[in-house]
Amino acid sequence: MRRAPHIVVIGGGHAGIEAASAAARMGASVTFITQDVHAIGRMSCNPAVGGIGKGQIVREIDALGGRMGYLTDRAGIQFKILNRSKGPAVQSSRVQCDRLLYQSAAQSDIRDTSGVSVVADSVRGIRIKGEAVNAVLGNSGEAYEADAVVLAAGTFLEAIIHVGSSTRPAGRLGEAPANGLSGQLRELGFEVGRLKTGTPPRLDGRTIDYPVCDVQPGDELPRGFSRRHPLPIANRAVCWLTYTTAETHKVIADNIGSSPLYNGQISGIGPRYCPSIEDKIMKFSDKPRHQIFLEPEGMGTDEIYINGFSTSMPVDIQANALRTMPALRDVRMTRPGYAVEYDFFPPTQLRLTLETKLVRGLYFCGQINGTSGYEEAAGQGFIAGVNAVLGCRDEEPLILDRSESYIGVMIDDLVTSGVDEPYRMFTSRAEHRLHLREDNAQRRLSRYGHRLGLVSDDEFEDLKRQWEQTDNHIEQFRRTTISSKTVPFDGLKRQGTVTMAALLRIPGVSFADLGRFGADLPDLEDSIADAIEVAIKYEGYIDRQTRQIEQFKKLETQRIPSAFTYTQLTGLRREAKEKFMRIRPMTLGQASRIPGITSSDVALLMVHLHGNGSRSSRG
Amino acid sequence: MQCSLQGEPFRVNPSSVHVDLTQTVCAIATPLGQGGLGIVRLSGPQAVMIASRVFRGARTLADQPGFTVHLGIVIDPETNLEIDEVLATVFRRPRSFTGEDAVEFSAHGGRIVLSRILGVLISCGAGPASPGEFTLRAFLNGRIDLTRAEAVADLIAAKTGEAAKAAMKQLRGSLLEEIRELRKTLIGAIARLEMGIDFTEEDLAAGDLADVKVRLQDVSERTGRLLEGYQSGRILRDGFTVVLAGPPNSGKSTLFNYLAQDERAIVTDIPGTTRDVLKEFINLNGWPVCLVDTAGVRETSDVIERLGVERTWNAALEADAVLWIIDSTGDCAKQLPPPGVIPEATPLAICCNKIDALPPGSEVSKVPPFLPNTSGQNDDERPVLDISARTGTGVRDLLGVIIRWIDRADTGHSVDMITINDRHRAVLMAASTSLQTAMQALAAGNGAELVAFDVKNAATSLGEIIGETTTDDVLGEIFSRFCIGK
Repeated sequence: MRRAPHIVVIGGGHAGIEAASAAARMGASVTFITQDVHAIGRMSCNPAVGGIGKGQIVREIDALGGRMGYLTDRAGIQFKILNRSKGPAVQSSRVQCDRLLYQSAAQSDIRDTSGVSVVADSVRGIRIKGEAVNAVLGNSGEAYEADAVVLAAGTFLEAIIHVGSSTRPAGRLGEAPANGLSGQLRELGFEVGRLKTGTPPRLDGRTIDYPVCDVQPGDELPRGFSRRHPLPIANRAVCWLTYTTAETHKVIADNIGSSPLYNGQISGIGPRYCPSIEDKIMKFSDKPRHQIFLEPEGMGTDEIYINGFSTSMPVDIQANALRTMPALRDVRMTRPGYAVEYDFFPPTQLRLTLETKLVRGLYFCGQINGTSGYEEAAGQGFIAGVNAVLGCRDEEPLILDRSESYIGVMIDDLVTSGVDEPYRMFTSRAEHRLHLREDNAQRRLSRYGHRLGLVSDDEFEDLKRQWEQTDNHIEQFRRTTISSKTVPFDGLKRQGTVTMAALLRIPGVSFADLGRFGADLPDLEDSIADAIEVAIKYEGYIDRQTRQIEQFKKLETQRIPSAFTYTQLTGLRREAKEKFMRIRPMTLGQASRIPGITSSDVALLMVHLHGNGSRSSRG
Repeated sequence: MQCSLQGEPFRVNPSSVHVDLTQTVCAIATPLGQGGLGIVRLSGPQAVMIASRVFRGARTLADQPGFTVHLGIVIDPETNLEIDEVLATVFRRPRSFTGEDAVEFSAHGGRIVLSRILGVLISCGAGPASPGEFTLRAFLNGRIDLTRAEAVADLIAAKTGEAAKAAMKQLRGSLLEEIRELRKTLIGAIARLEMGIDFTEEDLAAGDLADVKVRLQDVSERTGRLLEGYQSGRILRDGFTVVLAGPPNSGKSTLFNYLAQDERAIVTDIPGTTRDVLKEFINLNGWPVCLVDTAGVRETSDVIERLGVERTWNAALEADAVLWIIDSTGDCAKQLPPPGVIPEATPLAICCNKIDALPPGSEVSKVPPFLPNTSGQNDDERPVLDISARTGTGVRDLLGVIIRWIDRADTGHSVDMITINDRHRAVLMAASTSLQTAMQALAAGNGAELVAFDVKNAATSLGEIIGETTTDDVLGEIFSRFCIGK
């Protein structure tokens, strides 16, 4: 038997955790390098996991056998499903977490994973032999031998923090940056870019006047992310909503010259969908007020995260601006907001496996690929960790496609189109969104996790039984009729009986309503009830989406040989040739999504792929 | 790709579309049965060399630069026998229709001579071009994009100046612009729907559904107008088909020849001479009109003639209009079309022919000036006219009737109108259906994600016309539309 592959994972954030955990559980021997072992699993920004489009990613990670869903359930203090008024495809879970609980859950989870050894060190470079990476060099002087390396350095590479005019090298407030590595990679030929993100101040909850805020409770029936979590889940905290005032806007506008975003101090590009309070006020000056959410950081602390107030203004101005809001008249800031600028590697330099095209065995994931968000990072971390092991074993990589997962959509977007601002998931990025739901994540993906050994046989058998049960119930619902006398729909009353499926198809009628109409409902797990409701309610749309997916697969399954020489393509525009050579798409489908590539370019490529041969079929 | 010079039109399986650009190919470039001049086209790296081997002129063709025309003779190099006198035009890459070296032989001869020229080119090393191959080569060599490729096919098929104008207009991209506009409007609607889905946590104005509704209606109406243009487009491209039918020897072929102004149909005094269906295009006020001469309709025991009669009825069924020719020197009432064989909706004129042969002073029309329709009303779409195909008497009135029919068949015609072809029609129909579903979902208060699903489908459909999404089906559809030589 060959020895277990050595994988070095650099970075203890959400990407690194998934990479290290998955690789170790697949049998690799993992060295998990982090500057501060107590910072593993730290939530750098708001203490919440999930959200629209992101909740789906967490479910996918969980279905594949990753950790984020389980850790979130352990640390969750408020559970909520967003977009409840809309269809199941765009409903997403969001869980407010206890920051410290999350971090300690993550640390004990890693500690309990056999095969992971955690090392406190910082990294100054990698060592390359031939075209492949073979070691990671620590500032301690240690060289960590590696068959593959997963780099998950987050915002730490050459990072600079801005608070007003004060700048200091730091990856997060109070944590040193990782310098040198991106310089070495640049020398190796990697393209390096600069991005910016920000975080709001934290407040002392004892100085907040809650009665003037609107309360934002969790759901009546809290639901977690993971079936693996054994403990009951409960809402233990609420969030609060308040608003900025004209006065707030005046304080910001009067001092805009001291914002590093507005005085030229910051050149990195920030996310448009998560603007700083400065941007909100300057760019949307017609809006009289902006929403501000007050979110608890945990049960054992009075610290409050002030969502919607990301800023890098000087500390005194941050405090002055906060105190213009009635609930925060006397507020005390425990930590100021700040902006952080950091190096990232434009992700078009990666393969769909997240391995770099330049250096064999080197995998990138998380914020260094230009994404933002814990969920996006974790999804990439999982894929990078799995592929690092599969790559060492010369096995087929795990590449999820756009029709089966948000993770696949994200990685394809990154690798094929690149980013021009920190990339965040939206449901609208997924063209097969009606299929990519939270309720069917396991059905979409658990077979991969099972094949990799990350979903146990028992669990998978259990899932298969559940799916079978669901299908049987759907059939049952289509056949079983109840008396229509008791239903509140006049049109149906006259026909005497009605099938349960027909009732469920009526807009606004939920699974639970059927019981009220006199149906004899089987006692089902929530997840099964959900799956039945979706399957019946959206039958027509799901059928049509399925046909589109079949169509999509046609181009997606046409592989382009990795050694394909684009220079031989006479008639292909120079621009198209350059793009194909840079991205090196794996399939015709991926080729067609490269920005600036026209259908003519793809048709030409297709003709050449099929036509390299003879005209022998001519009659 | 399969190659066939005759037989059933076939579909190209796009996943097997391939062209060997190193080979030189040739084909007859003028449509069957049209025109006195014929063109044989040769394209590929060896085009000028191969052409030179079969061409005898003042100069050696192989040495000539692009855009030059040479008078000479095509010979069979094996036997040195002359085939036809031709004009040879030399094109040098990339400045040719296909972007490759190319030669066009313009010959006098009919089909047989053109086929012989093709034969010697093939024996000198050229391959026969597959249907659509010249266009496919032009496309592969980056000379044209998808919509242009289709417009070229229409341009080549265009039978009159008016149709050519519409084809030129499409070539310049007005269809492209209109579709781009529509797509942009839809993308605006999608953006508004998505706002209400992905950003509900933010305090943004929720997706503006009223605006979405306005956009969907606008695009739906404009898509409808493009679909109306299909009818005009069809007439401009395929011609307005007028079938000449009637009892044997009533003078159908004489009228056919008079209108076509040539002696194409065999005209004799023996009833039943025209046993097949003959077609000719004429230009009527800029409209291409396809005249179809048919076998006379009578009870017959002759097998071949009976087949001809069957074809006549089939032609009448598919016609845009029917001219029913009767012999006014006979009993007019007995020569009228049997009830039911000409569809009620098809415009019909009864032409009482041979009025020049009537004894002077005799009553001209023996049937009422209009045929009654099913409800007993006189139908001005079904007039009775007195004509003489021999002298031309009354023919002008007949042409007036045909023009009136065309104007009615042409919904909202104007030359400025964007005309669309069959593929565009199929795609626009799909977009229109998606839009209807989306508007219903919106009206029913369904979730924005379900409305968005169909709006995105509509946008994708529109994208297919302008080539902004590529699917196998689009390519297959396009490439199968091109016939050999075009």
